[in-house]
Amino acid sequence: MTASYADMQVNPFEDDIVREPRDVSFSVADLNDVPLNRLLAKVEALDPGELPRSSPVKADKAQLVISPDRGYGKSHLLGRLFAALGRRATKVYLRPFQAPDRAWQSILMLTLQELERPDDETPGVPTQLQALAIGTLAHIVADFAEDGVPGRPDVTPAVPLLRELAAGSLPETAKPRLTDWLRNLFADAVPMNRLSGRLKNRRIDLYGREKAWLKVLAICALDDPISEARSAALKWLRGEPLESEEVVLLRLEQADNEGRGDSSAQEINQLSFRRLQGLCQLASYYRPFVFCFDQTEFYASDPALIKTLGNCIDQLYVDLSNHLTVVTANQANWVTDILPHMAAPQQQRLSAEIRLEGIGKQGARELITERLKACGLAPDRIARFFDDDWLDRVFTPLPELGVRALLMRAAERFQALARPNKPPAPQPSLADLFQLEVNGVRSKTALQAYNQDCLMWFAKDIGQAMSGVTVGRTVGLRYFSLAWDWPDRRVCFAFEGGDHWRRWKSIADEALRMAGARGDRAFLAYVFRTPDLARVPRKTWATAQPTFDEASKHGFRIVELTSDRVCELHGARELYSNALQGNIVYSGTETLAWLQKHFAPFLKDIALASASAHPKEDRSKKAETGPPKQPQKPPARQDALDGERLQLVLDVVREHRIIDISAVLARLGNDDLRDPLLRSVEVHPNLRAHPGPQTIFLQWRITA
Amino acid sequence: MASKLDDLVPAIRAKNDAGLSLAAITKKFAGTSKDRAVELRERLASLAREGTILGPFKYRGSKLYFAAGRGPSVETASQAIVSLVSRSGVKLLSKPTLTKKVTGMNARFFPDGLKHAISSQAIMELSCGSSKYYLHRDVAADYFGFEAVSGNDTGNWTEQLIADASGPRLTLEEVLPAYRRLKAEQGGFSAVKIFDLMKALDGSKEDLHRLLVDEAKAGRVTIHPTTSVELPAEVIDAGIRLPGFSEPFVTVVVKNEP
Repeated sequence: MTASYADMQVNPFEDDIVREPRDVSFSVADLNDVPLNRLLAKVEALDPGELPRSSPVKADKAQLVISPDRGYGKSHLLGRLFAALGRRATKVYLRPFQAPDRAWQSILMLTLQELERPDDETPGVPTQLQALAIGTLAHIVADFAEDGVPGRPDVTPAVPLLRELAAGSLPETAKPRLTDWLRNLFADAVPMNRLSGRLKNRRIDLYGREKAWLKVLAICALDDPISEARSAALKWLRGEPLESEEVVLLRLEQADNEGRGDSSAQEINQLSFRRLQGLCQLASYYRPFVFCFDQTEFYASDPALIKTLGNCIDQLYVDLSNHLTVVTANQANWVTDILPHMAAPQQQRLSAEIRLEGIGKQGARELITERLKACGLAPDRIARFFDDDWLDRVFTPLPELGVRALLMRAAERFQALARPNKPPAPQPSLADLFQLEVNGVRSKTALQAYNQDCLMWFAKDIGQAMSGVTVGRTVGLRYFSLAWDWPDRRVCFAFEGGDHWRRWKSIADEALRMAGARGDRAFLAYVFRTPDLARVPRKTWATAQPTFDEASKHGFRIVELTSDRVCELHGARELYSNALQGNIVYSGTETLAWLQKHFAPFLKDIALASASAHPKEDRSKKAETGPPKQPQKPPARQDALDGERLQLVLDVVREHRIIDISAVLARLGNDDLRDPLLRSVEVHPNLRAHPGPQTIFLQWRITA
Repeated sequence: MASKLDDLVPAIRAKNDAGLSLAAITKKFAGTSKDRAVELRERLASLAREGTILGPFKYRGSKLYFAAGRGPSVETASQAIVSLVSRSGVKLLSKPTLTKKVTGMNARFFPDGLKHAISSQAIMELSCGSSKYYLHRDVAADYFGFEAVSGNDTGNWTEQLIADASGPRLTLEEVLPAYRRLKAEQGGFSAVKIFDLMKALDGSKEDLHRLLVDEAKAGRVTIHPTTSVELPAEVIDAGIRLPGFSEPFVTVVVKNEP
């Protein structure tokens, strides 16, 4: 037990913003149960009782969760919904998209990133994609076997086992035999034709790509998780073009490789939508999707984005089955900024408001007690928190408050108890809040994944701070969708997460064409890459290499962002989003201005470094467009600590209860182990990271 | 022996406009006890939130607390300005001179105090080129022979008039039809602006505020600040300000309304 308030290094009430719905682990009894139950009832309606569904379930209206003000727990409600649904649905948390012509690509990417995660951190749990793939394939085979196979009377008794395998309820010991059998079955071209024909019986139409879907799912379900085949299967699911050897690896036909190297943004978007449609239809065999649009205040900056959001909500309702859409918003932002730009028919696709409630005195006591208990405080110390009728005073004269308002008052109270001789802490500066977000992103691998919307936001909103610049969407270009223009200089940006040589050659070709048409202006063309993506260009892209070399001479740059930079960019967008939602005391304008100042040196590097006329002045950390330095394997996940080091960490954190990460790194004797340490913390049930502005604290959690 | 915390407010009140410093309060009410210091700090914060005391105000290295209605404020600064202008008679004081003469903690409130003094018609502003000078209304009244009415008298008279004019108290039932209409007009969203409600009812702001606070206490309505969008000044002005809350409450939700 922690002895006293003074011993506690972390104020347990300062963590008042939900960054990831998955992080929500506690909720007050009865608080916002009405909205939660309404959402759960809507998901229940998608439940057929027993899988698979006879036909895909038509979508209901998007459920609109409205908060009367900031801090009533929109994201927290999504977290509760996610926890309550557990394995009954695939929950996709959708941060705002940034490009109107690529919205579906963003949604698909976030959906697949979610599917690539396991349902929970229990060791050995498969990724959701693997579970979905096994569920789908096993049910399809069971459907087939149920009708009986001539000459194979032994097949029919396997049906219940296959259904159990699909549902995930088959005992572990029985799984290998059945999955081996499935692997052999799907390796053979002949049964594939018959099996793909079964989809129609359940009214699933994959537009002639039934066999391709089954082959891709078979790889996802049954292949080595870090194999090249699986990496290719994921590319196909993302709608990216495949190399010819990847088509062979997946045993697809050429026509199945619908992604084209020279596809326009609209074509990419359309293909992304079809993939999402396919995933939703196949959910008939598995479990429904729940798509949650959060942080909707972000869309208010651009009427085109609002219109696209409306279109997405409309298309989800009309064209996608087996899912529920949830949209959250602050009422003032929604009514003032969003609705006026949304067409009336699209507004009809939204439910009546589902209103969030405030917290009362009893709930407040429960929440505060839980947070103090989690810090290991003894009951008598916890009781002291409520001395002097503190709670009565907080709830006078209003018997109900927003949860964040309560947490802020509790944080003040804690500060007074823990540091009685110190003056009240000043408002955190934007620098502190930014660092807090950066540390938050650093603590979660999922928050560091490639996000084209964040990069677009950075180039558009942060970039507009530069003196004399005009920032805008380009017209008539396929890939370079955003440009910074000055009278004597042009800097363009493309956003590409794939690694197909033809796509990259097309991008380089477009850069060359733009460079040719630049006149007297200096010219730069950038594509940003993040560490989780495969390195491009590849050594084997011999045909395209001359184009890359030429484009490189004319200002084409592929910038490999460092992990630290990715954390900064993603943290910046979260901070700005918090400001727009009113989650912090600084306005959106103030926050953006601070971020623009913070990133000014980086912006300058991007804008001025190595214009094609002056290649030697390049100061950016750019990747050469020559041969790659690493082999082109799928990017590996970041490693966690080895067993011995992890044990040391467990011992240290258990002893201290809560400890600065730098102290733990000192015990490990190597500061470079910070990221592996955070990866271990992320998956260990007894460890929890508390990001703070100066550092990250590691806390020992008592588990049952 | 440290004094009881119950004596805290009387002790601060006894100091009138001079205020009581945090150091003196700590010495008197907490002594050397850390536990008492925590309790004291909490009590000070809570009294400040409730509006019973004001502070802490930093002044020359001290942190001062004042009882409500005491200590520096726009009103005290205004009084100091009015007094200076009055004493100066027909020898007009310029704005820079006046600024220099208003010292101490009132100096912090000088700009607002000056506006207050002018708007309450206690003094009048005269312009000469780009310079501003100030004349007390009593001096002008003496000179021209008309009867002076003090600003405070006007205030009391206005309040009395409002009190007399107010009929029976507003009830939630009377507000509900307007609330329902406004809610429907904005697409069924429950949080209705108090400003819109006030306009629709065409009644007094004070009556509506009193009703909404009473109903919020009773749990039949909830009131909310709106911090994530910029609202017009009139919407903010129509909001309810409560001690202990920095933001005005500008919207109301009637519970259990379909």
